[in-house]
Amino acid sequence: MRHNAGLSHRPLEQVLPRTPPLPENGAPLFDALRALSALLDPVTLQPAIVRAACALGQARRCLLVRAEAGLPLVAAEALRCGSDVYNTRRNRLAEPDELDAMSLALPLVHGGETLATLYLQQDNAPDPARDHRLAQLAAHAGICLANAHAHARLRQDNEQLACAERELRTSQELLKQGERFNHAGSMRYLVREDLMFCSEELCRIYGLAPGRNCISYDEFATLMHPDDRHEVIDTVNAAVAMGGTIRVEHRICRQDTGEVRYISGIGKPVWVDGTFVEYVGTATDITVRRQAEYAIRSAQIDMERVSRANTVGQLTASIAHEINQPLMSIVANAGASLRWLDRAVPDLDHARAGLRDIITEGQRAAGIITGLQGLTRNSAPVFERVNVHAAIHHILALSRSELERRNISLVLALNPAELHVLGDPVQLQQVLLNLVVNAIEAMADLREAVRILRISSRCCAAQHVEVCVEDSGEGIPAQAMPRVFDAFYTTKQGGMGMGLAICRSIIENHRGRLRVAPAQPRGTVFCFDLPRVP
Amino acid sequence: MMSDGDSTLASPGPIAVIDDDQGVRSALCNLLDSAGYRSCSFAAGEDFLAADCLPTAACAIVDLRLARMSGFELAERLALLRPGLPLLFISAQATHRQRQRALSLALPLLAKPVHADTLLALLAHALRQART
Repeated sequence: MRHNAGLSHRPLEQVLPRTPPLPENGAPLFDALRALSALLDPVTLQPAIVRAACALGQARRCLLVRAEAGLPLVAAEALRCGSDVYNTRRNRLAEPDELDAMSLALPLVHGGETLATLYLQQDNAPDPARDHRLAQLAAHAGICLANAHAHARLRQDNEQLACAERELRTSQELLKQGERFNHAGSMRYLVREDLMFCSEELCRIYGLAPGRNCISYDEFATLMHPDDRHEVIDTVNAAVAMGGTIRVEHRICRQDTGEVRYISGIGKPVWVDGTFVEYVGTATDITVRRQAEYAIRSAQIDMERVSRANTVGQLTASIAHEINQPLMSIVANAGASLRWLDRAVPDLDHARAGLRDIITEGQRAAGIITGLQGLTRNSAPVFERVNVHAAIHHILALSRSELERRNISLVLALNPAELHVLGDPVQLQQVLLNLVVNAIEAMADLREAVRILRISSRCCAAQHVEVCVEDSGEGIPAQAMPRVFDAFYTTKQGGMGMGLAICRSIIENHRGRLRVAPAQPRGTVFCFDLPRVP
Repeated sequence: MMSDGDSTLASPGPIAVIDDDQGVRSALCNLLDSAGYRSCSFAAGEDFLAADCLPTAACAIVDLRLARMSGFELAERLALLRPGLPLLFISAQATHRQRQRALSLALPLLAKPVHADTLLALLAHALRQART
């Protein structure tokens, strides 16, 4: 006999008699319950539940349906074929009306929550004892399913935990390798406890014995180079006092070998709830980099000196002229003095006057030599009040022969009459000389008529002095303009490309700027500005 | 003009020094004075051309490099105004072209620093030649 549709979703209390009779045949139920209890994986448990329900409920078909995103999902399904019960399609959405055709619905409940619903399609007459067993099965299956889900979650958590542990170990290993490759160690400093925990690489950099990875700040300070220690400690204390970032570069003496290494250290406080109890930081061994920097700097200084000597060397004709003038005066005065003395009545007054002039002219020659030495020497800048126009005239005196030899017209526009800046006179003359020599060279290939060197000075914005050196040469191609101040960039045959790089760095050290622009109607103009002083 | 030049033969007129360097100018005048010459000096060629001593000068020592008119330009002007006036060129750093030009003019070009005796000897020689 077939159930009609109205009986298909009977509530459980209607299925369960008030006093359930003893199971006539308890063995299949117990076997089924035992079998289900053994299954801990929802993947195998769900098909087992529908098989057991199908068999126990003598149903033609049994579905385990779970609400998934509001839709009925058939998680498992069992079909009867004769005395055999087997699983069929699973994890599919229930067909429309499919569930209405079922004769019995048993919710699988655990902890007040419906986990899923068992649907059975029974063809034979209602059997309260059978349905009672089914209800017991359903109650037990609910627990099993909940357990299996919990178990699955636990297993998943365990897997995630293991995975996280593996990742952590990998990242620790990577960190260790990275520290080694970069020669960068890391540390944690517990401020209150005065304990510093050092990474393996940090220990290696500082030459700490194995196992000495936890030291006090005082111990740490003893590793520092005696000449740097005081400054580092002051910097660190100042930073820690206000919870600021520590940035120091200093030398250390390795504890094991005493070797001196250069260290770059950074430390940052770890702020928690508006306070900090520890600093984390890194220490990088920059010895190799520092040595390379020193080598480069020393090479650069040599280079600059050679470059300046070259610039001055281009003016040998001018220099010879400048030196020969006082020499002429000395020789003539000496000859004169001898003649005054050799007279029948020696003219001592005239002889003395000539000798005095010799002294003056000798000093003048010495002054020129000193000035030239200054132009080629690397010496620490001495800032003083510099008369800009006197510096320009000094350079022009050196260059005058060269300008004449090359038939270059000089146009000077120096305004106002008196201009002073704060700077190193020798360095500023080096810049002017370089710009003038460059301008002369830029016009080497021109017809003589258009060779014009224009030097101008003016006050701009009351606080600044601007000096421009302009040539009427071929000009610098637009694409080369941005590179003219780069070291080693040169368009000259045999040039080193240092001149303008040095000029720019000198002007920048004077808090000024050196610029280049095309001149009108042709040529190039280099301008620099400097802070004016009264 | 010619007669002026001739009239200075017995007692030579002043030696003119034209050089833009004050130190050189005063030293050369000192040397000339010590050797018994009279001297006058000018910082620029234009100044000499406008000076009182232009008609009477017995010789001119001319620096090639002068502020405005060059030494050679001055020589060209003097060739018109004072033909036969002996000239000595001096230069602190003469170029090849300048040496060639002086040679083509058959005028001595002395490199500074010129030895005092050499200068005086050349001057005496030039004065003697001008006399004959």
